[in-house]
Amino acid sequence: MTRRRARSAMSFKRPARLLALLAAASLLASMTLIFSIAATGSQKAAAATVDSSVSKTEKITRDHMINGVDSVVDTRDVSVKVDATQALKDRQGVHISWSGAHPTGGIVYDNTSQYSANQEYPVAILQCRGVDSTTVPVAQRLAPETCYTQTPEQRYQPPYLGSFPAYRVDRYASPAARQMSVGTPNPLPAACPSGDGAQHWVPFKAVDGTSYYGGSLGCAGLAPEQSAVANPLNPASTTFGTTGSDGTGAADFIVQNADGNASLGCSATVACAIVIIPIMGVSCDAEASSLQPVNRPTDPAAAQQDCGGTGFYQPGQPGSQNAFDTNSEIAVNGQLWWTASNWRNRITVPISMAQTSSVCDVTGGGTPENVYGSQYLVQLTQQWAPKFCLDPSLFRLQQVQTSEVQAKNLLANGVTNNEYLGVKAVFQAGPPAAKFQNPIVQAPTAVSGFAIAYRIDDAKHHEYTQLKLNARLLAKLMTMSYPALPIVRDDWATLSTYQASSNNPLDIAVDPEFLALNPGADAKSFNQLDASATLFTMSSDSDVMTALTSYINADPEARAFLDGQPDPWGMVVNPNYKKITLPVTSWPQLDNYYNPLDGRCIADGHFPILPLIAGPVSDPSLITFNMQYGISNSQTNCVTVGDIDSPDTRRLTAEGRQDPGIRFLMGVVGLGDAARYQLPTAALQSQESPTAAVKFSDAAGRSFVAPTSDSLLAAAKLLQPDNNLNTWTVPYDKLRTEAGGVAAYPGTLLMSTDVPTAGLTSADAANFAKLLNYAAGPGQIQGVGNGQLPDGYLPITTANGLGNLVDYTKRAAAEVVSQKGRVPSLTDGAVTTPQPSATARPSVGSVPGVGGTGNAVTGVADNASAASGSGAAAPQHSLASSAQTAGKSSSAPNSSPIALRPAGSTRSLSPGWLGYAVPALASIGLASAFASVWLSGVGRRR
Amino acid sequence: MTTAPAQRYEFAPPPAPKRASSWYASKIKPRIALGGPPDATRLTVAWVLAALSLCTLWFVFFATVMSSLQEAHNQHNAYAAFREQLTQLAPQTAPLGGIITPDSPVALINAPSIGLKDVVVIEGTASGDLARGPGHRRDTPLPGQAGVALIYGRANLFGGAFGRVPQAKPGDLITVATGQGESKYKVEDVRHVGDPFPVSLADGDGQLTLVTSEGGTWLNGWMPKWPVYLDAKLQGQAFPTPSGRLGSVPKAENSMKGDIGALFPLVLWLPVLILAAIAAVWLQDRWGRWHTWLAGAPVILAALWGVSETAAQLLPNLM
Repeated sequence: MTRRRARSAMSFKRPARLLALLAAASLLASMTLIFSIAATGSQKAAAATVDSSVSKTEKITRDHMINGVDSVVDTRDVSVKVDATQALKDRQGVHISWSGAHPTGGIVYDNTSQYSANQEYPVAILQCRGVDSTTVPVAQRLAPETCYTQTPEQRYQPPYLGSFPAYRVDRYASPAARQMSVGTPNPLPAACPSGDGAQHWVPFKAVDGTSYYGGSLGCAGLAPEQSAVANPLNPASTTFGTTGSDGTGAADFIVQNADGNASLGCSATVACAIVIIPIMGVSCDAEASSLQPVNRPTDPAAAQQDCGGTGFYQPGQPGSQNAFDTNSEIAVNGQLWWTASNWRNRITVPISMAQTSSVCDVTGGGTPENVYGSQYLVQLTQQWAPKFCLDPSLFRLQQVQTSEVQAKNLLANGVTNNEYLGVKAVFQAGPPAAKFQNPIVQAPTAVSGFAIAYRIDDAKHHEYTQLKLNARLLAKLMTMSYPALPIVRDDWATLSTYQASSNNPLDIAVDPEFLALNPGADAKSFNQLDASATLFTMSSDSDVMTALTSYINADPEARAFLDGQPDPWGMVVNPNYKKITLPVTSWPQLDNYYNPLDGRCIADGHFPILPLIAGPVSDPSLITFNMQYGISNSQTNCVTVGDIDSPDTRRLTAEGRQDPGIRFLMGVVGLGDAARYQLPTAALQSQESPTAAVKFSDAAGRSFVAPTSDSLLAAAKLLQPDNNLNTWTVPYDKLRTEAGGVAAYPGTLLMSTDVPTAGLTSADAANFAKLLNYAAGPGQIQGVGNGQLPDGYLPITTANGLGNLVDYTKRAAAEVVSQKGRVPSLTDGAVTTPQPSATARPSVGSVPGVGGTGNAVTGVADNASAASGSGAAAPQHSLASSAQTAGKSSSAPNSSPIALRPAGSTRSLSPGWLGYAVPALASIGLASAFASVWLSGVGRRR
Repeated sequence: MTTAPAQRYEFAPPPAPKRASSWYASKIKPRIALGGPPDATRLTVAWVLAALSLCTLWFVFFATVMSSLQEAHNQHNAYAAFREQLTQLAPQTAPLGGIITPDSPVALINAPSIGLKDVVVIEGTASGDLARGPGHRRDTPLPGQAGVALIYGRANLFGGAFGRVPQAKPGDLITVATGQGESKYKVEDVRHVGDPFPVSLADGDGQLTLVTSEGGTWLNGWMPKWPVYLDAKLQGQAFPTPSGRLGSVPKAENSMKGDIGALFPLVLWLPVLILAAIAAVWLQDRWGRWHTWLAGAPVILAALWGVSETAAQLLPNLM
């Protein structure tokens, strides 16, 4: 429930009573069931361990039957490792690696595309429902029918391949499966192609028993989650992995539970497995002497030749990326994963799904207690929420995800007549901008952090996993100092304002500083991705942005670059950001250069190009999603839309999913998200030795720290108490100078829960005190079970040397329960009673309306004036600056600065002469009435 | 004004018969003797003109006044049907996605600030659909789902449900109930011709755009010249959005288009009206005036109603 925003109940008046009755009845009916599910679920989860990896090895073979003699073609020992199998969550990434498999040919770089099954000798990875055992009832057994495929073509062979295609001479197939037409729906839907040849259907059996036959383009019906064409924005989980010439390979498989895929229906109670099938090719028996004559190939030699094919492509050779590959030989490609020959070679790894917080919707547990705030705590609250609603001694916890800054403002100003009515508690990821005027404790809840997640493929189209970044590179990306496009760079050279920056590298992929730190990420050959010139960040006010910009600000090299000093390779900051004051709560989009000649939509609307490329989003979870699937949010794709209401048919849209193999994008995500979705995260520079080269050619003398438990702990130990703000802060200067900072992760964030100690009802106070006590105790046990601390969060425990944080949270809980308006001191046992002032409101910026994040606009203005006030060149392009202010949508709330520019204007659509129909008819009617009266002489005197 | 001069006029001697000496008569050779005593031809023309006048004025009257009665009736029925769909015992049958039968109710819209109270939105935006109330454009997601949901409504004819849409203020609340539950939208702004497009929507966000027409003159809704839009942003999370919506809609369902298809029922209705009129005239000789009125008037009125209703569908759908 935590991921959902609070939504008021239906207030549909007349049927409300009936609906309520219905809801109550169904609730009662399902109560018993749910409680039993919940009980078993939590037991399982509690037993789970953090490391739930599974390794398996199997001997797999391809052997034909020729003239009654067994003839082995190939035998291999394939080992697979699945790195997580227990308590999996929806959309969780599971890393699967293997060795010993047949090298793949006809490679399709996107292993989840609908064409990836055309690879020869791929490793098919599917999520299947059921138990792979012959001892369980048939209905619970795992079979090709219970394996989910995203597209119907992956489980259907149309009648195009003659009468005896490879799958019909499969020696391991049962006689029934070697008939002309197998699994064909009866009657065949009219939309489906019919033909004389053999056909084979493997219907998908949903958890409710429905069979979806699929067929060509889904002609015989698709499960709701399936699609005839793989959706490029939400790629399939079905994977056909590529094996290298050394027999090894790996894939990140995305697991879905019943929330994400209801038809497959995997859950804490429905057993599922990941099935890995290293495709070896069909084992053939062309004579078919054991079968009836009608099922014997008329020309066994030809059938054997078809079926015994060993592939068209050489290992490692790329195949057709985005069309059906007619060269690929079906006997050895992924399309026949379901044939008995391949299916018997499967390696089944059972998985268990975590109990989801949706259990709280049915078990109730009373009105949810809402805590507003940081999205970087979502993974934690999602794992805690089921525990809270199922444990009768706790309460129903629900997180409302909002900007931390906004939530803190609402809490700071939320007291009316000594009572909190709206926001009563807040999860923050950093200290408030100014001291809370009312008594509010900020109790440490977890230590986590932000990370720079990335998807970068190297020159060999392999995923790069060793990314190192320093503060200056982040500053370059965020200040739009890379021109990104040749047309921009060339135009900059002609403008006095930008001239200094016109020799900057096009994007980070060709920046010598980046290449010095990341020699493996050399991807010059295909760097023309707009996203490689930017870092995807959130547009809303965020504690995370404060932390990120504080880190940049504390780094002397980055600060000097921002102040206008060229880097050792001669790159200069974008003039619009020169001398920008940091830290900021939201990143301003200051660049206003646009190119009037750009061939894309940009020229139409006079859009500044670089903010379009930056493409910030208000919802941080969207960055996570984009990073998981390699989707670029750079709004530079010009699409022409058809005849819809607005005749303005050209639109700018996001660049979209980058092709696997040639990706380059980076974004800011939370460590909890990075852990759940298996996102690669960059190591950030913590310190450099005094002897480190200024113009460096490698990382020597500089320490780069990846986010790990150890590096988070090193940073957590350096947290500084701030007695004015009443919380601990991350000392960015000390991280750079103190010995303990060398191994400390600079992106560390202290997540705290803010709760008032006066003005709460006793029920609320007792609940929040429970939350704090839970956070100071059982909530810090790491694990994947409900109520435990998920990966990506560092336990704050005395054992970790963070006893002062734990103690403070416990003392804070006591003050919350007593509601005497006292706030414990950070450094000693004292408590203080802040005197709320009657008139002065906290000066923490403007107070946004509920649901609005209007501060983004304020931030832009503030920083723009700060920049120009300190001598930076004012924007020169008069047209561009007018474009910035054009249009009334610039006053719209809720929008990121980039979205302030209009995407075109509403045009007229004339109804033509029909529009005049009513007045015209009225005139005609009146005129003829008068004429008639006059002609007939009625009323005329004679 | 007192009545005295009029009385005096009554008693004045009759003026001389007016001669056809107007400027009009002097320029065109009259085919009929204008100004003279009424003869048969003149009377015929007068009757034809009177019939024309009656027909057109009736149509205008129907369009402006009577059509709203019809819309109210249809709304009443649609509300009852939709209520049943929302509350029916398992499973709820209000349509949520895929291809929904045109004219079936899909949503209930409430926007007090623009005078919408429990207005049923039906599927389809052709002129005839919108005669039943606001219509949901079929190639857009339903309200409450992710994406831009377009709802068309008439500005004046057939009740003019959306007549007050241009008066909405930013921040006004619109609630829409569908089979998936209730969604709240906050009005961003009213968008007239020439205004910039709204901010493009992030994935998973929802927007509701109400579309109607305006004229820009005092005739405003009676002479629509261009569409006007109201953009409202979904508050909170969108409902699941099923796939399978139409990829495009027929031309008649685009904004500001009349439905040429209505010509077909029109040519069926017109003979009914004409035959009814002929029958009435024929019967008058046999039954007498009042009997004929009694029997003929309802028939003629019904035929007239049918003609008007179908003819109104030829007019632009947002009118």
